[in-house]
Amino acid sequence: MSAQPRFVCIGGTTRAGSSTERALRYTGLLLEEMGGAVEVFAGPDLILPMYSSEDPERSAVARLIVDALRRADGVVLASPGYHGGFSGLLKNVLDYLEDMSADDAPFLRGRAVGCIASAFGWQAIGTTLVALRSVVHALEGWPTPTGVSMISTGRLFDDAGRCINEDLDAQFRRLAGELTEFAQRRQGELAGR
Amino acid sequence: MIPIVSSPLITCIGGTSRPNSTSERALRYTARMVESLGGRAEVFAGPELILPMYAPELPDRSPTARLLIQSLRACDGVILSSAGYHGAISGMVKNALDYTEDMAKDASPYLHGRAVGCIAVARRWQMIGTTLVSLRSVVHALRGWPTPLGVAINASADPFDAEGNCIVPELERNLRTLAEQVVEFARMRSFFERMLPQVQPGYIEDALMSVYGGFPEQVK
Repeated sequence: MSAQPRFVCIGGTTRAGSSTERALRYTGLLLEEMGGAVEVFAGPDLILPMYSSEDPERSAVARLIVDALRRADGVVLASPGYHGGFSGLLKNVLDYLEDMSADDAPFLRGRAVGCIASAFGWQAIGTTLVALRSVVHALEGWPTPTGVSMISTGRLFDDAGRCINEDLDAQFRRLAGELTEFAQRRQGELAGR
Repeated sequence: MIPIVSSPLITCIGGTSRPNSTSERALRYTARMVESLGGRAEVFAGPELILPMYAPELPDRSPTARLLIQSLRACDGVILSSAGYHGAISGMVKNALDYTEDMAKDASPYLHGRAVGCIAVARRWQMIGTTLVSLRSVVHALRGWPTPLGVAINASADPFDAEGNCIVPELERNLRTLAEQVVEFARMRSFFERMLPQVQPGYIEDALMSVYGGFPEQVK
């Protein structure tokens, strides 16, 4: 049996407890229930200094995120749609992956990446999801077949953080299942080498 | 060691209505790369993709459409190559992909479980980018896994010689990497399914069943 798959979940907005953040945390919960070890970086924690490759200083959180990603078998990204793209907050976090460019497994290579886009309208969700996936490709990751599209109106999560919308819940479960399967395959392959 | 599937079948689809277009040659070159990696390639390219407009309500299928779906049902991975027509994939390639609707009720529906390498060819970089994104979006809708690398080819300078060899070293490397990612994914998947008996097809559904007592209808 392979080791426990490790996942890193990154997303949310500057506001703690946003619906995007709750979507991210719920996906983390599902991954744990499927046997994974999950680290979440969410909400205001993501307010990092603007990434600058020429400056060697890194904040404590920036270091934690990159270290966690180095260990990760899979990744979840969740962003609201801001003007049709994903947030600068999340993009700046992803810019720190440049620090992994000289790693043996640079950027997101060999990892499945689940993308969650939330917005008030379908058009913004579509373009946000495409933008997230395009960045995952640039980082050499594998975007999962399922991307979660979430219209963030109404009550979607209960007080325990579980999704109470059946259709949306099905998307989260499918996403977590795809990430788990890919991560276990990755570990199986690494162990077999 | 348990042997992994040695020779995955990769279905290669693409080109334009004009025989020997750049997107067709890119496809055929990538198919050769697949074979050099030990895979089997089945190519559906150029004018043979001029299929009747897909009509789900009509049961008749042309021989080529039948062969295409037969190949996709059997395949372990896919390569798609399209010219950029007005900023997106061509209607001809899209129409061929529309036939995957005939696989909707398969145990492995659409492109489920397969890595899909995407190649976009155009004469302007902007069109190449949008074409690649539109190919990948379709792959996601078909539940496939677009490979990390997508190959962008600028056709304003012909990158292939008369024998179909790629004469631009960087592009040659990219097409080889694309083939590697598709073949490697197929091998990894079969390795995994053989090595870990608990992870058979249906594993996810079973796991969800045990955790949640059910699996909802497929996500639209």
